Amino acid sequence: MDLDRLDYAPRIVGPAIIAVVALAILEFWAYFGFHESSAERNAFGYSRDASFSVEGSFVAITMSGSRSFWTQRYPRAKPPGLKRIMVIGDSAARGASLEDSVAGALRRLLSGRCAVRAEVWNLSSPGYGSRRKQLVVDKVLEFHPDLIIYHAGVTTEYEDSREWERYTEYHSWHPRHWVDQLPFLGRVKLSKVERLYWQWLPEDVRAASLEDPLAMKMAGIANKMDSRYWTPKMLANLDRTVEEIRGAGVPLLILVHAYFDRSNGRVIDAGLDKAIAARYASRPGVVVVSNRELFSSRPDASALFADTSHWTSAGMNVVARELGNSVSHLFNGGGNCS
Amino acid sequence: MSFATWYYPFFLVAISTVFWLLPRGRLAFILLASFVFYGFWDVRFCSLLIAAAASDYLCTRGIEDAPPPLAKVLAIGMLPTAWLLVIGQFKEVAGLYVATSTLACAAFCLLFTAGSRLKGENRRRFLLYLAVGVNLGILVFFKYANWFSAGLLALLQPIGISPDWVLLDILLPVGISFHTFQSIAYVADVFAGRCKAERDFWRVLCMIMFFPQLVAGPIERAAGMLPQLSFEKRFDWRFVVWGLHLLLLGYFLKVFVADNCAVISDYFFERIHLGESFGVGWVLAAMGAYTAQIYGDFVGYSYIARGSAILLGIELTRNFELPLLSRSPGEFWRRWHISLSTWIRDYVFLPLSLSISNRNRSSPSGEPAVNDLAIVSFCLIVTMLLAGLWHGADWHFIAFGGFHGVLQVLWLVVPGAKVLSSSAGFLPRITSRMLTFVLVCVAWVLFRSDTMSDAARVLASAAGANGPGAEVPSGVVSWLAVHAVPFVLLIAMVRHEKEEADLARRSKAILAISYFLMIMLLASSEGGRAQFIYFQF
Repeated sequence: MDLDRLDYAPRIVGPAIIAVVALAILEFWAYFGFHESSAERNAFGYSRDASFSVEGSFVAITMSGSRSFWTQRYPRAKPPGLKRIMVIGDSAARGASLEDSVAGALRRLLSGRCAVRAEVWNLSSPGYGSRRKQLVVDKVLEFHPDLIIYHAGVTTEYEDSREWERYTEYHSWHPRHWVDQLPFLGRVKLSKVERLYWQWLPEDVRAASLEDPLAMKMAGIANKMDSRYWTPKMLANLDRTVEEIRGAGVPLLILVHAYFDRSNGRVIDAGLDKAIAARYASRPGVVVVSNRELFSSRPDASALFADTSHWTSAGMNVVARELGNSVSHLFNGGGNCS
Repeated sequence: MSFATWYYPFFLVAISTVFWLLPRGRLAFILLASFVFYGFWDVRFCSLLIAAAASDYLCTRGIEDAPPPLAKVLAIGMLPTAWLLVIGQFKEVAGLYVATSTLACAAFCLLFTAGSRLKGENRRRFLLYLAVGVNLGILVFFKYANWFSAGLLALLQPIGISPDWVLLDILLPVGISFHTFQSIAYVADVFAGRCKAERDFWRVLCMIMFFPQLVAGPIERAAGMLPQLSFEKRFDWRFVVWGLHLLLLGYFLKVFVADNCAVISDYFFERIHLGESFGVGWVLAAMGAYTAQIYGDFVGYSYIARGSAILLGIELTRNFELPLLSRSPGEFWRRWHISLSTWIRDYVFLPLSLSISNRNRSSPSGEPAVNDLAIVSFCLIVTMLLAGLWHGADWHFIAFGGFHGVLQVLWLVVPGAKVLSSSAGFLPRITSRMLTFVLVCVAWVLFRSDTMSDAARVLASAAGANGPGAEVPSGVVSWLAVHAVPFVLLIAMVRHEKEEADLARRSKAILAISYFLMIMLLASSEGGRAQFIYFQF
């Protein structure tokens, strides 16, 4: 019985203090020892600087802070005669690997047929919508790009908003997140989620275990696919992004994403390409490329999509060729790479 | 309010701090805290707790030959209705509820007054039956009426009658099975002279409503609980240290072990209910996961309850004694949910078996008609069926109880079973523990499945009788191992002790490492599920 056990209390105080002090030491060690704070890791993509680190004369790009960029490394100062192109988008632009992506295909094409010496940074991350892409744009302007290829779509706006809600909740006073905000225990928890929960458990098991209040809240706001709700929000953010890029004097190529409707074999984008073209195509330094127009005319459209949204390697090559033509036109003053 | 919510620790710290700072009025303060605690679910259901306490208080006073005056009977007897009327000013309370409550309270006062006028043993028996009737009435109406009405409808439908009014759709108040059993034990103990009737109504109410044990036990006995509710203890820093020790163990078992194993078992049993098939590996993984889940959930809850209570200087009963190390099904029930199993032993099994045994011995021939083993076996089965039914109004709960009853009888009648469970050698010890563990895991399948047919499909799959089903992914096994290994290590460290809390007897180095790991593993887990499995009972 517990009252009989009170005599144990004096002997457990020492070990309890040792355990707490050990944890406190680890917290200090993690606070001072890690370059990246756990708050950045839990930024859900809303940290401007996450994933970018300057190491001597190089810029290292890694997967961090909910930015699932491919690992890359480039000279910090742009080498003479080399063009610096940055592709900013979501999972479709990110591709299956650094090489098997639009950026990879474009780099190969430019160094081959197009005869443009260029490095192409792949700065695309799954689920990224206009808000998080703008943060990426804001950061990469530090590295003096010669062209930004902005991959625009609408369905990722939902994820952007949900992750923003998550970000604001995480950074709130709420005690639910006090552990997450600790430098050491926060990392332990995040590592468990990333390394064990996400990698070990099958998707359907995870889905059954999730009680995600934010997802429910978002579902109450709007349907993920409701383009009438999300398009104006996306365009408002894109306005700011275009202003920032053009304000820095950097040319901009907007690639408007399209989807494949397997029920009727049509490539669609709910009028997004027309809306974006009407808004920006006449502006100097801005080029708009419609994925819908590019694929609709092709008889093999179904072979260009791996699913309703992501491109196959063949699809990426088609997109890269179109982008290559525009890049070639921009840097060489004309010519066709195809 | 659940122990697993983020605000419970804040609530507990605030309550225990103010409690020790109060020079007087601690009983009223704990009562207020208990109303707040229970009111988080549904403040209207507090009227049921008040009703149980009022009935217990008045009837025990009457049983002890000191029935209160009529004015006091009316004042206390009508309290549940008064509560509903007060609550009705802030929250919607249907007029039907108030009218029903008024009628029930008036009927109780009438019956009590009539019963109080009886003499001697008749009065005592009448008031005992009245108090037990009130408590069982509340339990049966709120817990089993839906089940009975659904069963009645199923019986009527084949003959072309299907009245909608039969389905009552009654909400189940949280923890109703626990506080009604505690009430019944109090009245029965006063009747049997095992404890004195309490003179202070508020103390009886506090015994029933004491928030650390309100919703899922332990089912306390009045003889142990009531004297503590004078709150005369002085603050002792050891209460805080031991309380935190118990709370850490409880949250570790609940949040790290139970909630993480629930990811696997919940998925499995939900899919089984939807008709999916699984291979033997999946079934075994899910059975192991659910065993760890229910153990962590309920044992963890009990530690949190005890830790919360000791912070207020109150000692609650130990409810578990490492039941997974049991060597027989009977021993399992002596070590699992001890407050329920001893309740059932004292108030169902012993009276039933003594009654049958006495009738058996007083047969006209003078020779017992049936041998004692048959009587004990019969009583064991009946008792365990009732224990199953206590858990919930469904056939799979009854089957769970029945299965345990049959196992206990088998251990009584099968030659060698008792020897295996009591031999001191290494091999019999391991064999009997493994055998009991496997049988307990099988019983949990009956307990957890949504229906009997689900349970049958799981058990058939475990035996490989359902053909090839989905194989268990290695990641699921790894996930389970990560959360079970620290749990198994904890059990292994205290295997010669009474319970996990006896970790405090280990060396200081082991204690420091254990605390460090438990805090780290606890922190690495998501915030925990808001509810405990046993809250639904």
